[in-house]
Amino acid sequence: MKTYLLPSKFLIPSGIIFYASVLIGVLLIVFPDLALTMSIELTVPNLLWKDADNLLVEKTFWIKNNMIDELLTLLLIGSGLIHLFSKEKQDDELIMQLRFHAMKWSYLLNFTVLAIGSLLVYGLPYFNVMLFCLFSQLVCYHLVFRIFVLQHLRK
Amino acid sequence: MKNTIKINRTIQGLSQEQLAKAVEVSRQTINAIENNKYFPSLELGLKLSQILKCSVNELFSLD
Repeated sequence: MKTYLLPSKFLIPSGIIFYASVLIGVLLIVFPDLALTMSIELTVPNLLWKDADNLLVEKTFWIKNNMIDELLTLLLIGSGLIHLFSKEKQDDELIMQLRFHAMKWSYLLNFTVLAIGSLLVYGLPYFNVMLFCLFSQLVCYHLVFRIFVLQHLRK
Repeated sequence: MKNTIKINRTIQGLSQEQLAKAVEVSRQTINAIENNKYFPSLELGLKLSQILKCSVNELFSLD
């Protein structure tokens, strides 16, 4: 069966980077002061500068920004997608079906959390729910898929 | 859907591992098919029938 997946040599390195960036991301959310100790300040364009509120960012096109969280986001998305589209060591059509099932469960979990958050969280803390849901689908997919693969290999 | 892969595999004197290698899947996948936990694609069904030297109708049948 022809699949458009990356070779399995990408699986472990991308997995290590992905889970490390998830861990760093969680640490930065739990300990926000940690972000202040790391700083890569750059002048970057803000495309929606007219809508800026002057509280979090200046109302100018070019703004100075600490790029740590942006770099972490790119690292998480990049490594997460490479990990998602890498072949397993022994990849076959059953593994493809497990991918589909994991995708289905991650969608369900992600939107269940979003629905519950929408009903129970209001005000600025809702931003945290949205932030969580931004990455939870990717993280849930990987965790559920890994559980499915381990169950499959145990038989 | 039920199948007779285990019987036909034994007749051909093949282990799950050997059959898996011949049809390019994992041994666990063959085990899942034999135990009706997974229904193979048409492509894999045809490959299995070729290796086990019997028709697809002999290998798979509806309950």
